[in-house]
Amino acid sequence: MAEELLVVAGLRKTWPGGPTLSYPDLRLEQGGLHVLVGANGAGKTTLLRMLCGLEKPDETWDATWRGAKRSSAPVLGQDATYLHQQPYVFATTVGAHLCWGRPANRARLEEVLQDHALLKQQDKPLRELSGGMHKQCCLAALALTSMPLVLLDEPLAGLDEAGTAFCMRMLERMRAEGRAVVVATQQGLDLDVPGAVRIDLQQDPA
Amino acid sequence: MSITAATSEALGLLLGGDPALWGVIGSTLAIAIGALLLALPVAVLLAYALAAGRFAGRRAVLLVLHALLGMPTVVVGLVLFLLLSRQGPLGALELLFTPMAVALGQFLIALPILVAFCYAGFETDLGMIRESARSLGLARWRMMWLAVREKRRALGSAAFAGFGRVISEVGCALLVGGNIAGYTRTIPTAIALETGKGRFAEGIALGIVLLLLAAGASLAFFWLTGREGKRG
Repeated sequence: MAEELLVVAGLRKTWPGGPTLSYPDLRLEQGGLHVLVGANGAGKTTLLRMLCGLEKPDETWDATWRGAKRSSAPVLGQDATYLHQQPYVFATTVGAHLCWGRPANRARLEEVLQDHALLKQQDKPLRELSGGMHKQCCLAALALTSMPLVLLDEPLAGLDEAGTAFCMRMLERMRAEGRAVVVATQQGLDLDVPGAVRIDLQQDPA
Repeated sequence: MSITAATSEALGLLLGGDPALWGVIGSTLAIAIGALLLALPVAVLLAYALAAGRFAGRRAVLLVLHALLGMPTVVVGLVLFLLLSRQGPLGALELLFTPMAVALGQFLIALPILVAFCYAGFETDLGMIRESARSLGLARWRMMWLAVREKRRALGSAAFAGFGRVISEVGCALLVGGNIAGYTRTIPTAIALETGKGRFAEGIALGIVLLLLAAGASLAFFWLTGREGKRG
């Protein structure tokens, strides 16, 4: 059985003037693909953001990280990386965006991207890419990082067939590296991958 | 002297390269640009902290900042005069009636505008920029540099808004600079003086230059703001 990266008991989050979001217990495995499924407002994005410390849950953290007790959320940029539902488009080129934080490594880029069109568009400004292509570029940039917890908000939304295939390849790649991948998606259908763990989020009507 | 005659004499002075006139223009630009170069980094840091931070008193700081936007420059001059005068707490620095005092006044006048405009620029996307940068594993300082780079047009337009305000400012420069020829005289203080002395040609010549500078700053502001968020 795969080792657990993060185990956290039922998180709760109350927004001012809104309902309290309650979540099931989570066991995120290294190399696992965890699919958050739920309707609009079920709190998928909130959960992803709590899992990298961008939102605070109601109670203090009581979790296990790599088998040891931990009383703080995973830190974005160290423990976790996060893809927004609509990623910000930086005023830079494809190549610079892919290699941020690391020296440009052509061989590694080629290995990760393989024959993807982005490889030949490294000098192209991000703002000239289509929405779907930009999303693939952002996903590839996260795949090139090494944070063990990968949180993706609707990574497949707006992608065509080739884009979806590329996204799935990136997910498999990150899983093979032993990273725990959590994906929020509107329908559970489009992530029907062997070994995927489905996490249903249902909120009581307020 | 008729306005037409004075204006043609003014153009003659400008185009003939009158040394006193161009000297005033030169020192005005030097003081204003110097003050802005000092104020801009301070303003960017303050605006970034205000936009990124969630500290107690943040709203109060924003309120004070926006109240300061309408601050009369002559009041800044008065306060600075009292601080810098011989009996004042900063009198020992002997800065009163020096170009440094004028620059200091312009620094104080520009700062609230610069911070407010930089803050407005950062406010829109800073959360997304910071979260995306952190997701890529960027360190804090690189993240800030990235945000400045992303918002360079907004920050540039802030600089031009600040320039437009300090370049045409007369109250503070007159009080703490003293309008000393060849030393602390700026275009607005010179216009006030020359016109008072009945030398309309000099006043008109400097007025034309000031108009061009202020209009140029406004146009640059408009152009940079209009380009914000556009592709490329």
